[in-house]
Amino acid sequence: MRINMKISNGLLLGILIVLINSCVKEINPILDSKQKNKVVVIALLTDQPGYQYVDVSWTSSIKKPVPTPIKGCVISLESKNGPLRYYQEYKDKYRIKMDTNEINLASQYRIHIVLPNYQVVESSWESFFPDPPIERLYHENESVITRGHYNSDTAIGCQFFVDFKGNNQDSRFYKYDLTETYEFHSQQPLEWWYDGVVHHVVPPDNSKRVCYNTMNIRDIFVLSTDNLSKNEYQRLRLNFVDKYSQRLAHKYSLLVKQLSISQRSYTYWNQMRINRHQEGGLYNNQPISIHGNFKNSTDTTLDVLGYFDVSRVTQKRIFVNGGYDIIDNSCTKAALRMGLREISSSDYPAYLDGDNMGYRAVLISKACVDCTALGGTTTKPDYWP
Amino acid sequence: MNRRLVIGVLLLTLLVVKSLSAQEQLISPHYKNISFREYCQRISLETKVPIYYSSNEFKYKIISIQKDSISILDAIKGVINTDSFNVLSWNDAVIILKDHNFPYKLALVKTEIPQKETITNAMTSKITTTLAAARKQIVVGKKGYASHNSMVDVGVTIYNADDKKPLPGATVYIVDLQKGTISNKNGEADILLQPGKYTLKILYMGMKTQLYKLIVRSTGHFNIYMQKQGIELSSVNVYGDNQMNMRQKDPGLEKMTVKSIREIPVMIGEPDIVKAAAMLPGIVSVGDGTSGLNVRGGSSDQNAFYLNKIPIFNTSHLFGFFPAFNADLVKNFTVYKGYIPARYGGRLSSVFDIETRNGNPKKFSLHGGLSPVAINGVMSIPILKDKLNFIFSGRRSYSDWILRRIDDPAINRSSASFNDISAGLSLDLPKLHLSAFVYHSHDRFAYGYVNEFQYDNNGFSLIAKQNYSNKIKATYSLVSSQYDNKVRNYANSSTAYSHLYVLKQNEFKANFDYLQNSFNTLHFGYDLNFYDLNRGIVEPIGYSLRIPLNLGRNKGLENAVFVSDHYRPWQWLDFTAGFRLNVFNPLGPQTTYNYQQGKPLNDLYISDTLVFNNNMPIKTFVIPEFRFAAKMDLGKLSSLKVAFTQMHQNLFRLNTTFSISPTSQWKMADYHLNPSKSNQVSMGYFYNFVKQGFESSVEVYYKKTKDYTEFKDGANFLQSKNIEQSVLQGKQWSYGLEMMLRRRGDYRFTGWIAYTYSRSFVQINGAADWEKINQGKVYPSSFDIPNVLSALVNIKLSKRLSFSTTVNYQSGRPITYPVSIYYVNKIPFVDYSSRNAYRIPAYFRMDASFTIEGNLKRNKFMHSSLVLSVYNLTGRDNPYSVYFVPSSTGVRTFQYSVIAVPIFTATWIFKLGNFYAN
Repeated sequence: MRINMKISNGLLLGILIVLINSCVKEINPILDSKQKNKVVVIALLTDQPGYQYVDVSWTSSIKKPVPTPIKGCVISLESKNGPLRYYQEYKDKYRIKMDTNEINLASQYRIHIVLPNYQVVESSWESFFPDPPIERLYHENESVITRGHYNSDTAIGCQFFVDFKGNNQDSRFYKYDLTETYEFHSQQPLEWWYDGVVHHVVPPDNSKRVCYNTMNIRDIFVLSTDNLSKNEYQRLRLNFVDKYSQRLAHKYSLLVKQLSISQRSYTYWNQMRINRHQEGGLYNNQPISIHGNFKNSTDTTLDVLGYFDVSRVTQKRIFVNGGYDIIDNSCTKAALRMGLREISSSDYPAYLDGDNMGYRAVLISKACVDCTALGGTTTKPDYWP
Repeated sequence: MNRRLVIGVLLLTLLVVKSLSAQEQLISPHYKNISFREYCQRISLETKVPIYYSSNEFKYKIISIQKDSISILDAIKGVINTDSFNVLSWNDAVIILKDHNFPYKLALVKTEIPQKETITNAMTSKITTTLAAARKQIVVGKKGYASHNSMVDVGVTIYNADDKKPLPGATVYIVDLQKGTISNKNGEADILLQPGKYTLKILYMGMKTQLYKLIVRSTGHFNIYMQKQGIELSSVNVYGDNQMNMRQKDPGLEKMTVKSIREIPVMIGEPDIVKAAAMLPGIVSVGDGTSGLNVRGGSSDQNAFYLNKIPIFNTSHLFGFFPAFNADLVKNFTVYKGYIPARYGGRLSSVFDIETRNGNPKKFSLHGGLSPVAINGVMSIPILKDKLNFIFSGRRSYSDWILRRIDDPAINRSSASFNDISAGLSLDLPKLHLSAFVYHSHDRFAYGYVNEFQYDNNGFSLIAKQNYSNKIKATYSLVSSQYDNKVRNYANSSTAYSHLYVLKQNEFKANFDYLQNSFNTLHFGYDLNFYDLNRGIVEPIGYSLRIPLNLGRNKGLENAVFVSDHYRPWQWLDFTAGFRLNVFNPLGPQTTYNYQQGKPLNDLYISDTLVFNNNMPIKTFVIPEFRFAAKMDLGKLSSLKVAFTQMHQNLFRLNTTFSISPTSQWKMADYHLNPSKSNQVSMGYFYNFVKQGFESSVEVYYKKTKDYTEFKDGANFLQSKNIEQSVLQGKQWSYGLEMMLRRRGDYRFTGWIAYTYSRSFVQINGAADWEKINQGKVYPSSFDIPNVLSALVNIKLSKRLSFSTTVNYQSGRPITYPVSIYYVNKIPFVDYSSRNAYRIPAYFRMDASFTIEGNLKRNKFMHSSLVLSVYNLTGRDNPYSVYFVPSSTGVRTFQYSVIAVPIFTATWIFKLGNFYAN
């Protein structure tokens, strides 16, 4: 049995006893996979010009979860002080393009959805709240205990923080959406590869040595200054970037979007955050089923999950220079003791280690010569310095 | 067995004569002109060593002796002619034979029974027996006063020979008839018998079992003085619905000794009486390392704990890993979970009444123990011999050094410590017993620079027991208790806060017992409680921007009068009927709100503000409660018992976590929250297998609670002073079946096996949507644990060695499980089931302990014993909770276990004196 020592809620007793004796292990309980599916609606209307999106889907089986979009919906955006607008189906979502002058910050909005089964789902009316600029976005090197489910370790990495400063007219509740971009490299150029025949690329191909990857941070960050004497906050912890990838090897960038939200929205997203970070410790809250601001008007006994946020957005980007002592295992090498015949045809094209003098009987992974194997693109973003 | 022993038997047995204790024990006889018979009686009384001799030989012998520190043998030899008599020690007795050599023909040796006499007037004369080692004869009544076919009432009062105090709960058993009874709180027992000869057996835990030949002639009464057996065992009595033993009358009792609790394997060497109680049917521990107990499907705040009548609001150190009570100090530990006497109120599920020992009235004593994390000691000092004595108990942890050696800055900057002290003074006057008791416990733990927790229990009680007459006795108690809980949270400088809340309870109680006759006893009294709950201010600390939030103060006054009558109309039936009238007033100062009709209770819908001045009644709750219990004997070996109990609760603990967390809060019933009220009915069947020494019981119960308080989804009790916005009240009910088979007594193998099937449900279904939890549907409570099995086996390997093992199994607790996954911006999230729709895996644990006593030498400065125990012998990683993480391949489920490995502990226990020292 693999045992993971963990800290429970930061309590000392958790430390004293839990570190010595507690354990976390993965189990396979019998879960009811035949639950009736629920409708999930995630919608966001911002003050930013461009496309506004609505995502309508079914909940998915816990055993084989897959995004299950609902197509064929008729979705409209209702405004108390403006015209009715309809969303267009686009790929697996619905979108509507709005210019700045089409968004009335003083109005209230709601989403009205007619599902393919003619049931009607509606959100509550939502309003915009003022959103001050992000006061400060910064990072610090930190040593933290990583809380993997099997392994724990003290990791050195980069912890991002945001400081917030608003006035009394601004919202007291905020949500932060984070997007990271980082530069990463393959270890060597493509020079030798094998598909039954050994190929030698001359000159070595460096076109896929440098890549850029952009990803949304898969976490929820919310802030409430409701109980604070000032509408200010310092050192709100955002994401932590550890050393187990190339993120901090070359250059890293974090884009933070600050969304001003309602108190109800804050309660919803905060509970989503708590549920997501369940660790089952001694003093953890029990998870709960969370309900947002949608309801099924046709059959009120049917739950609708999700939330419709109306938010003003401000954003800030920060860059972190590389040079961290990282651990990157993306490029693997295996010696071919019996020569090239060890390589199965199903592995073609196989990449070989070598130099201009010749190849070695060492099989290397594609990521060693092609950074796109790890995702991302070789196209440098516009904002990249 | 005849009092006269056949000398031939002695001759045979003398072949195995060896050096015995009678030779080792030293006495200092200082007598003048007393008969030889009286001389022997006095030595026997002092030393508990019987002396056998032929009375005719010393009929006219007068003794005068002035000696110090001589052996019993020498004391005898010094007063008789040793040329004519041989004085031998045999089997803890002294035998005087007439000849130097073994006699070649049988002769008779008479066993003398001091003060034995035939009762001629049963109501006034009494027999006193003192020699327990020999079979004695007791003659009750006078010939010709009763016919052979009539039933006569034979009464007995049982005393402790040491302090001459009556012994309640002693078993009086007629072996021939397999019939028995139990002495009442005054040590008295009555039994109806036909005139004739019987074998009488008197049993009491920790005392030598006594056997008598009982000759009943007519109605009569006699006294029995019982001698200590081995270590004086402090007893733990667990009362249910007169349960567990068919012979118990009101109420029945379950006995566990503190010694046997110490033998129950424990986690870190500290015996825990509360956790030991969880081995009994109907009582379930919340889990490893937690302090909660769930009794008969009730939540953990529904149990009242009284230490010498002081309410204790936190019964554990370090949030459940160690007991708050020093087991060495405990004398009686009584758990009421079914029938709860009318003198108790205030909690729905159970009352844990813990009574501490008084000091040793005769001599200084000291004992204690050393476990891996704490040291404890109990010291007793007689200030005025047999009148005024003092007892002091102290315990302190030294766990900080463990933390300082862990190579992690966050941990070695942390600390965890606890201590508790208590002191008692008791004064015995002829008709008055006065006792004063103080208790203090303190806990502190801090995790690095992140947070710090601190809590204290403080209490004081002054108890006066007055005997106004043989019929009227009164107990007056004045009690004060205070619980402080302080939290400091530095996790984020902008929101850092400290919060202290203080809960005080002051109580005056007068309790009267009126003994109308031996069949009818009336109990009545008055109970006044004043509660003061300062929920405290959540204050910013350091650079925190947090706005100070005053959570408010709750005060409450509860007046209660109670009366109950215990009546035994027939020998086979006795019952108790009680009534308690409670009047509870939440008091000002308080500012509370009215909300718009039909709207959710939140700040948006406040319609009116109500201001109550200091001590102004906010509301009046009048709560009548009826209690009833009856026991019917269905034969010599079985009985049927029924009980009905109504209870209420004004104080709730608000908790949203799996166990009682450091941030859990107490809250009093107020303008918006009603006191919870419960009705419980229970019934039990009890059967004893006398020959095999087993007792069995089967009980069923049903309990229904109104105005049960439950937290809303996502509640945070530190965010608002208006608790009514975070909780709802509804129904809770539970039912169950409890079975137990137990063997106890003087057997090599003792123990029990207990099984409980129980269910517990909650429904919060108000009229409006926001008044519902779980959409108003019924859901299992967080402590709905259907199957619980516990077993304990004690094996006495020898007088110095014993082995114990326990087994615990319980169904997994309810939990809210994921039922589906959905995606938000490609991030998977889990949608959870309705509340508590699933269960975590079952719990199983086996423990073992081995107790080694030091040598049994009589003369020694200090006696030691060593308890070696293994907690979680099989190393099973029992689930404490289960949580879920969505992933691309589905929901990954992780089980969190608090104790996942076997924990070995060695505990050293010491006391001044020998094995038998108190």
